[in-house]
Amino acid sequence: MHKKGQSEDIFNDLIPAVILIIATIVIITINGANEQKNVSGMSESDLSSLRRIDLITYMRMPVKDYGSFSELIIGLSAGEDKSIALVDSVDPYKCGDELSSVLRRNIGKSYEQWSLRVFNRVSGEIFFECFSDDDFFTEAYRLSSVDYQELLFGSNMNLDFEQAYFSPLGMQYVNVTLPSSNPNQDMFVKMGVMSNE
Amino acid sequence: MNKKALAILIISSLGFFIAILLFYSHVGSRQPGPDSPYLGHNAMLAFNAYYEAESQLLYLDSAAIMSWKKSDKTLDSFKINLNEYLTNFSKLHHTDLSVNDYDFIVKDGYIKAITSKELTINSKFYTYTFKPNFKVKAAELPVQEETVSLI
Repeated sequence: MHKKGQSEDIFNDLIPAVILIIATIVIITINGANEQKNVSGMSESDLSSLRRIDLITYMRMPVKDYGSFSELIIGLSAGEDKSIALVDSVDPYKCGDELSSVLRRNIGKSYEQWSLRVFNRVSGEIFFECFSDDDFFTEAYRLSSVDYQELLFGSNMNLDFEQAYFSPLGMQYVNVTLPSSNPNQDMFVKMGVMSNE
Repeated sequence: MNKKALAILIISSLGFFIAILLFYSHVGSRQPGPDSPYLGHNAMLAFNAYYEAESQLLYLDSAAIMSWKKSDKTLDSFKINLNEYLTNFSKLHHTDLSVNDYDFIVKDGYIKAITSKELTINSKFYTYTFKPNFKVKAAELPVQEETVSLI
């Protein structure tokens, strides 16, 4: 009997301490869960900032015989032979194998599906375009029932179409402006990447 | 139960409880920058300003390369071409940068353009300033050790 009574006294005495310990654990758990949720709640505009920084990095990446990828692009606008050699011999608007390989090696490290287009900011004329996966994009154009060649030569229509078609699929776009051989006609480099990557 | 042990236990529990309350009530105000909805948000705001400055520097670097390619491989011709690009750059970014703001140094096969002028990127919480200096490879140009300026 004496031992039983003593045990009840111990629990009664411990109640304030137990309440404080439990309250502390609850506060830590709730705040920890909130922080975890907030970190993963990065907004789309923040992710877009990271993609834009990626695009600048790609512009600075070295390409064979050039200082950088951006140098190659501005060379294309000036009609330089060296730059043209990197464009597909059949379709002058597509990346050549060598350039594709460089881009896939670099952009492919971060993004599985991507597109890269360079076009005149004023007229919308395309200088060239590269894709992570030609089949994926060509198939998307085919499924859209829009004539690819018409889109390609339809200037701005092509660009609007791509964004309108791919954005609902999760493709997000960022761009950067570069000068061309004509100081009054800048070039736009537009990169699309799948947002879930 | 031993009264002393109980007192120490309650004081310790109370101490932990107060410490954790104080920690979470002050953790937001101790972070640099404005209040943020999640950890790392303020860094992203700073990244935005950095990106804008980097994209402007990329434009200037590219404009310098194009100006040199279009020139007749003299410094004067380079400057005339560059000024056209700087006019366009100023229109794009609402600034007043011109070739007169630069000192040009020809050294080691490069033209280095140095200015004391600063460009500013204003965002909601941060002001980012940078000097739009650049250099362009100009191996064909005779070396001039002295500074050449249009000012």
